[in-house]
Amino acid sequence: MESTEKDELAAVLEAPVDNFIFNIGLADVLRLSMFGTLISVSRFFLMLPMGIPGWTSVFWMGLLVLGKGLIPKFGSGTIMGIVSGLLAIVFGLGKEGPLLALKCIVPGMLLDVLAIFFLYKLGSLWVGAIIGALISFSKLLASMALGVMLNTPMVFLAMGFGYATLLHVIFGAIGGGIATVLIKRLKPRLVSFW
Amino acid sequence: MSLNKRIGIGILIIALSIGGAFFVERMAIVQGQQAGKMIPVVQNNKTIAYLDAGVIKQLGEQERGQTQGKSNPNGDNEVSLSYVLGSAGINKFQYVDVNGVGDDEDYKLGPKEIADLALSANDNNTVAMVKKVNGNHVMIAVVGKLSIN
Repeated sequence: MESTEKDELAAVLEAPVDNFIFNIGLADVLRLSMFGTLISVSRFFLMLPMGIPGWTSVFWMGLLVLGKGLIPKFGSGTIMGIVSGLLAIVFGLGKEGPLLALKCIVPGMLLDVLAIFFLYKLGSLWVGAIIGALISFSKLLASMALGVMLNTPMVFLAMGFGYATLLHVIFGAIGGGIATVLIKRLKPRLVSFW
Repeated sequence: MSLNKRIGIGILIIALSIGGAFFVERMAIVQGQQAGKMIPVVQNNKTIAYLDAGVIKQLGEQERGQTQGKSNPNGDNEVSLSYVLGSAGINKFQYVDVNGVGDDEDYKLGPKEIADLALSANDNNTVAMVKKVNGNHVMIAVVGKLSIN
């Protein structure tokens, strides 16, 4: 009797929110918001003056790939990007103002596309590392585009672009690689829980 | 297409992105220097900084901010040559070689001579060197290189 009531309640709660956004249910959107929040919070707390371009990609891209791996639905990357972008603006994590959101949304959107290309096999170390590297590079390109839009002197944009790309790719790949390990460990436990 | 092929394509894209980035950077520097849009500051045969019109404008703003209330002959897009050198970390030198692009003259200037000189951002993103005595006398229309000795 109790289990039937629970099932009914679950069905009632689930039905109206199955297609909340991008054909993703409200529960998954909330979970993705959690990942988006984690990205911004980690960036906020880990603002260390390392002086190495792109090192934040380790956890930034890692969390994006992890979220996508645990909720493998089209649009999940974009949702994480939007949430982290909005929070980055609220936290004031950059000098770009509201345009800062672009830097967060672009990797999320690319993640959605790349996940399709790699057949959603985000549990594979190679796939995770490649996706992490590519979305990290897209973040750098978005930063460059913002620099052009905000009239940053070309000297600052062009100098060290190759070096910055190399580091973004390496750190992004590390983040993506770590994420695949976590996906493999967490997914079997979370599938029954979620 | 198999996953392995897709991984191969992914690795290829990453390799091309890294190579492309180094190529774009190199091209930006070479073309910028040839057109006078990127000015290397050279000391002991090493490039210690690069300047462009945007940097000149920003340094000009900084200089005006620091000299508020004092006389500053420089205009909106101008900054003193001495301030530029100071920003690049150059405080002591014997002379500065300022080379122009193309047919522009070259100048060898001592510490006292640079006092009246300013760098001015042109509309086409190049930089000119002007003498701020008796009006603006353009010494070099397009500056190509600064060598510190």
